[in-house]
Amino acid sequence: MRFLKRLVPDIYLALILIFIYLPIVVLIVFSFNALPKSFIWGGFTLKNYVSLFSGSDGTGILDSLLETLKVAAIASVVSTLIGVMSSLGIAYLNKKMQGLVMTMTYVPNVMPDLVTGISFMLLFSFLGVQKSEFTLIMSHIALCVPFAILSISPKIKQMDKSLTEAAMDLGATGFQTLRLVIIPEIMPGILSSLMLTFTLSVDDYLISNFNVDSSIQTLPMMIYSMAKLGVNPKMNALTTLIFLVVFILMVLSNMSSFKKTNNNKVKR
Amino acid sequence: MVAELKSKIKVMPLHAFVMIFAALFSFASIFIPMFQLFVQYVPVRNYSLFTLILSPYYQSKIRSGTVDLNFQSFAAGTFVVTIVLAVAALTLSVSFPFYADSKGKKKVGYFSVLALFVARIVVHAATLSGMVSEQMINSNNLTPERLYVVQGFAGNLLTIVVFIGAVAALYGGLGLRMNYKLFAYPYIVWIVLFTILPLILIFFRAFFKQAAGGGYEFTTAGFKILFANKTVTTTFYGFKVTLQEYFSIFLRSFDYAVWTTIGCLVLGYPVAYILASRAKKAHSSGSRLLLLFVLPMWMNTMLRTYAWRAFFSETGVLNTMLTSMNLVDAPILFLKNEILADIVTKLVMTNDFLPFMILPIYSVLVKIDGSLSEASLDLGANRIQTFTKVIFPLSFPGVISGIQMVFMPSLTYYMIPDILNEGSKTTIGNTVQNFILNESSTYNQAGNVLSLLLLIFVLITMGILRGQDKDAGSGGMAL
Repeated sequence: MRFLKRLVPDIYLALILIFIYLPIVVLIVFSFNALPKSFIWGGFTLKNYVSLFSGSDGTGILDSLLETLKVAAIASVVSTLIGVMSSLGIAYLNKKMQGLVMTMTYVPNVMPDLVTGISFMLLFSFLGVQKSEFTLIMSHIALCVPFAILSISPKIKQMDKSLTEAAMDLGATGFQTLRLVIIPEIMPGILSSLMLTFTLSVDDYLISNFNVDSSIQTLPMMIYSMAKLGVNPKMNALTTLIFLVVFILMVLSNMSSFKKTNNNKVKR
Repeated sequence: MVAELKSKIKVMPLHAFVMIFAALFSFASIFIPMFQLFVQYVPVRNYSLFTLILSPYYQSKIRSGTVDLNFQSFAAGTFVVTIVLAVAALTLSVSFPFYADSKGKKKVGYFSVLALFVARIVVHAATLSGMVSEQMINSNNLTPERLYVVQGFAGNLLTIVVFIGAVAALYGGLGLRMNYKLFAYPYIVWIVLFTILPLILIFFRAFFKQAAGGGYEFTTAGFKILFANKTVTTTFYGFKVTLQEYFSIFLRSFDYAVWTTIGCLVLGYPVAYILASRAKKAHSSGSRLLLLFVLPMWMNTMLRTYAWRAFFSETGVLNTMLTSMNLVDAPILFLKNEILADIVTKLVMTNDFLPFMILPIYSVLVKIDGSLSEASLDLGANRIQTFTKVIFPLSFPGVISGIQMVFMPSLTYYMIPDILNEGSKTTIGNTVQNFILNESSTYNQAGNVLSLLLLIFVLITMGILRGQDKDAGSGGMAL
């Protein structure tokens, strides 16, 4: 009886995991489906994967993948840079200003994406900027900056301020202090900000939808237009590959961090 | 002499180098093609200022014949002004080591370079807008939309580099020491531009529309559409009800969002609790398991929803399994039956938002000191009392930010009901999107009004949630 009681949490976790991974399993299985755009199983095939890499196939899936990755890479790097600078600045403001600025950082964070997208669209039309790739990238950066600041500024708060003072006293210039003391200290925050903003940008549909002209289609936009008529199994194949890459990266990074903690234990 | 110069260069501050680099680039850009000429939406030629002065006449074959363009008077003027500005800036900044000793001279140097940089950008913008003259358009029988110049990648780069150089010159000119506080001010400008201004615009555009002759005029057209006295009959939980058109849409979205939040809380809290207690007992086993729960966030939501449709559809996985095991005679219409479709939609939405509930609750639970529950148990409380009186109140900030992260997006995230029900269930997100992207300006107006109402609703809900707990939100950033 006791033994069974101890198993209950495990069974619960397993059930929830099955619930979460069920659609992903269905998706992966259907990426091997021979019938196009169908829920009906038509036999096993690898042709979805093969044709994905055989160059242009007329569907433009690879083009929009590249576009999405490009936008996400620019948006995550730029917003993290802005995030590092701004959260450093915010930490040195007086208390009252700090509270005000942080509140204004929270506001876009809780606004629904739909309203954010519309507000950026109104902003661009107010400023007289035509919808283009530029507005797409700008809106993604503007979306990501608050998230970057919210993941970096706790790390700056945790940082020992006497470290920077010591560095300055010992003759380091402001830039050297930033490069040699502050950046290494807040590195975990920077990495998580990069990851978070990249994910936000890659997965975003609502904001892109309002801020781009019809010549550019990001992957989520393509998926949404497909999902109504029937998704090309190539898309399933592509997503399966992306999922595998993320999964392997996760496992690898986890293994290396596991090794590190073990080493630390040995040293102590 | 050379040794002296070397030692002077060695102690030059970083911003002086940045300034010199910007001046160099601004000079070199005279020879880099950065203006792209478009005739009838087709890029026909890349120009630099230098090539423009070499060949001010240009004849191009296009589909509908040829166009003759004459940049002659224009090219000479801008070329001279630009080259004077660029050379002056370059000379002044390269000779920086020679006058760096005197404080007064240094200041003058910095500020004149700054002025030259600003002038360079102004002239660049003027060049861009003035390159195609009205006379050129008229003599080629084209419209301004069919004959225009844009700046290419090199032009964008020039703007950015010169801007950075101007900032560096200003920094040196004001004699600022590296003070991190300075970094906050550009961000305050950023907030004004990308947070406050858009909010004001949403508010403004709900009441004002663009007038025909330019400018804005007051209108209530949007409100009239939204609150029109038009009723529709819909089914809620199997009951037929007649409601105002947009109120019924709002009610449905609200219904979905509330049940999604409840579902996530009920399913997610135990997960976070179990994982957190594991993480406390054995180091990092809980956090590694947590990754498994977070991983699906990297898989596109809409594809997952589509997979759910494949799972529940008439000929889908579940029905195939049920019929092959002889559990049902005819396939169950999960997505066609009103009541079942609603339940399935809520289930799928719960599935999608579950990680957003687990993460903040976990990050709060894992920080709670284990000795607190031990103390409570020692003092005679049973396990249930310990949970309701000690653990749950302490984890409340996590619950609040979890609700915030699930309820707000699920209210407007229309893609899931849309894909699952093949467009037969309209939610508030759909409505806003259709209004905004509509051709008719009255419907756009209604979209603006609706997004304003949505924003007010969200901010009020936020305020109520925040009022419950001051520390809420900090847990949400565990991501």
